[in-house]
Amino acid sequence: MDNFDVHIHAPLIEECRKGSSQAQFRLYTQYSKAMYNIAYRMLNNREDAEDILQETFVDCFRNINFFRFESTFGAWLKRILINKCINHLHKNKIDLMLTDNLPIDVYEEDDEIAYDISQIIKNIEILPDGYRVILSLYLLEGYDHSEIAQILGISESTSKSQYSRAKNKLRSQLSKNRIYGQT
Amino acid sequence: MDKLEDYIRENRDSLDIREPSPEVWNRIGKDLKSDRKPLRKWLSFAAMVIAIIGISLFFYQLGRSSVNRNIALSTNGDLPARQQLKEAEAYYTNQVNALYREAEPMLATNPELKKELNNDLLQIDSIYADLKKDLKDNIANQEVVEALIRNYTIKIKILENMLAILRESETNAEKNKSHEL
Repeated sequence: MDNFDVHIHAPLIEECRKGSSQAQFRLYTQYSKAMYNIAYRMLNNREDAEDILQETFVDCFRNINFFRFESTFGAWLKRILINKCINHLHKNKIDLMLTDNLPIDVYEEDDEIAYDISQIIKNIEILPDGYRVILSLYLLEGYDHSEIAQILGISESTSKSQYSRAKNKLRSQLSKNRIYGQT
Repeated sequence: MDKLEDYIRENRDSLDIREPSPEVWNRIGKDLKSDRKPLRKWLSFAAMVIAIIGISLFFYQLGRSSVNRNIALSTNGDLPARQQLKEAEAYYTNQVNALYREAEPMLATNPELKKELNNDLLQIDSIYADLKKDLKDNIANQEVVEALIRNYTIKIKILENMLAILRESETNAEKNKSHEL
């Protein structure tokens, strides 16, 4: 989803505007996996993530005339998807703002630590909803705190502190894994 | 620097381990297909507009027919007109039938569309019958003949549009199928 994306997909998007389902399918194959993984991480549920994925692409193809190449197609798609995920979480009354007793930045960085990607995936999944969402948006999707503040309707400083907590929680889970040798 | 953050950013792509089920694309296709229905509605709306024009034309002719009948009787110029109409009729019936034959196998898989198309065609046929009745009283009237011919071209146009839609949906369906494989 780099900046070339705008130019690469322009003809494909043009075809979609004419209603070509072949062009739609090509865009879908290109983006569905990445989008599905984002939705899955935010909702932590296969069924909901697939529903949101479906809704996102349907909305996107229906409104493709409103896509004005102001951002990349991928970024546009991602924003629609994330908004839908947030709405879904709100609808299910999931509180995204958590506070817990974990002090910020208590876990010291250890230079010797060798991280393992499958451990990280597993531990992101078991984070509380609010932490998982903010960690996904900041660290994995590359939004900055002012954008996250806008998306979630919170202040920038809340976004920052919430992210710190999320990261610490993840760290503490990972170190527990190491201590108790859980896999 | 934050080692955990760096590690995750470096391995960002490896985090996407899940795949959506292929069902999702089918559902998207279904949702988008239901959007295309307005096109069919539009088609029958167009047929209705044509029907209204046809009917008003019929009454317009009816008003004038008494004048024209007198002329027709006095000039006895009905023979060439009758001949011309006969030829035109044969030509257009042929074309309509050919188009319908082509559309029929595709319509078989689409009973809803077939019903709608048959309704449209029936409507056009009834206008045609009215016009012909009008013509019986008044064979020399060139305008009635023209209206009859227009009626045929409308019928052909509708069939052609329908065929284009059917062909498109068929090729789309095939493409989707080949993509799934």
